[in-house]
Amino acid sequence: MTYLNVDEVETAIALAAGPPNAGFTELITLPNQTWEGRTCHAIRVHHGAAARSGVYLLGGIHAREWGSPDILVNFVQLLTDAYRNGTGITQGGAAVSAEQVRAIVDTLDVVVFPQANPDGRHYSMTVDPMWRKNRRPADAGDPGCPSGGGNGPGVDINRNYDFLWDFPTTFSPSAPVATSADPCSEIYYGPGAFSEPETCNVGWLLDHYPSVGYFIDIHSFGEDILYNWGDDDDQVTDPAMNFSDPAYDGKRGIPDSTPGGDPDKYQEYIPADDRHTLITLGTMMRDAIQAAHGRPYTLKQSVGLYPTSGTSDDYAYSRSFLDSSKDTVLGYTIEWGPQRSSIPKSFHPDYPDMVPIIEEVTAGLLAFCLAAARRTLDAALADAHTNG
Amino acid sequence: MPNYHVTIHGADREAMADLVRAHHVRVYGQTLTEEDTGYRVSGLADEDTIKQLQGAGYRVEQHEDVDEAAQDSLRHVGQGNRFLNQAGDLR
Ligand SMILES: [Zn+2]
Repeated sequence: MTYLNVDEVETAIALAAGPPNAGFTELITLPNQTWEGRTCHAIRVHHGAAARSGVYLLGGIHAREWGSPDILVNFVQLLTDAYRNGTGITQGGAAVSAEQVRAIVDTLDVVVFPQANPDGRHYSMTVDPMWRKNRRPADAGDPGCPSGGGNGPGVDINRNYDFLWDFPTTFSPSAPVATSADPCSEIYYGPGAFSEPETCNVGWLLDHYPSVGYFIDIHSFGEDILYNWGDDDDQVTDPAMNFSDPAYDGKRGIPDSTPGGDPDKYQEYIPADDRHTLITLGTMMRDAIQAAHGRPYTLKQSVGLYPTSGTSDDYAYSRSFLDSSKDTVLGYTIEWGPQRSSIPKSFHPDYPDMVPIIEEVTAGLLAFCLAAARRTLDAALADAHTNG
Repeated sequence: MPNYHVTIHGADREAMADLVRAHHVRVYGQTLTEEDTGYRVSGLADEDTIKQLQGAGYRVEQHEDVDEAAQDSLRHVGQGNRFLNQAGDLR
């Protein structure tokens, strides 16, 4: 067996949304063509009356992290087959029953966008396996980029979202932010927030599926489950200290654990309920991953010594803070797979080594969806009590 | 110039932050680990950067040339389209 190439991912998603599953799936054509002219597709899985909540699963943002689209194709194939046939799903030592599969599909919009950067994936799978970014061409007048190690023209899509994107302004000059204004860097943030068609496609799905309350972006490596925020330490007490206030520009991005502490004392506000939900559902995902093949993933806040800017999970979560008409979207990033002795093998393990990772992450995502569905059903029951 | 997988050892968190702030090294932040004497992190660096880091007091272990090593992975990529037979039903 081998990793799915770019065409295969597209065909697999089209098939999953094909005639046998037509009653409970929708093939979604994304509006923005990539730099190399590719059209991307997502799939929505749901049956019945309009869903009250939804989970949005994203993959393939970073070209060289080959396993992410394969994980999401496996997830979609298993979920749609099981729902159609009225069966459960087993992945290693983790399982969901037929009834649980039905609860997921009947309760939630499950929106899956497995291959958001097809140009980059194609380039990584045919020319430069360490390629990470999209394939935005160099602007006329740009210096020639040295190649290798993921460097060259192109934009790191997961630094291009509109969340504290302008890091030289929004972060402290002392913050070791993991992004770059150098167009040759493999973590180049792009000429503007949402400058890239791939980034716009990810945002478009959030705009068009407002039922979505949970967002999970699949990356590698490290065996981590990360939750909001990624720019600074979380705090639950001061709503006014937050990313949207320019008064805190130049003060963000120094976690308290840095030696000497944080001179500016900036921390990012997160409502205590949201943090509790992030940890509760994240724990269920982590436990299902471990049940599959025994791998202990670590659940933790996204920020570490090296804070991030312009990432998808923080963008998804930030939207409802800026526009109260939007519902909360809790954000996660999964970093699948262990670090191996070779960096390339950490990003693209030999396929036989990828198989258990595909299964364990699929198990984690199924458990997450089930927990989200139950939470939605519980909230509906509580509503009915209050109103009845 | 080849890019190497490196393990960089530094005295304290300040030194590890400087890898990004001052030396603009591409590190994999999720690999930051506390050791008996300081910290280590994995990253990518060419030979000039490795010398620069050593001059600044870091201990650097040089591993594989990542681009050369990565070529082996290409044999694990699917060729053609394994779903085309089924996809006939879609047309
Ligand atoms: Zn990634």
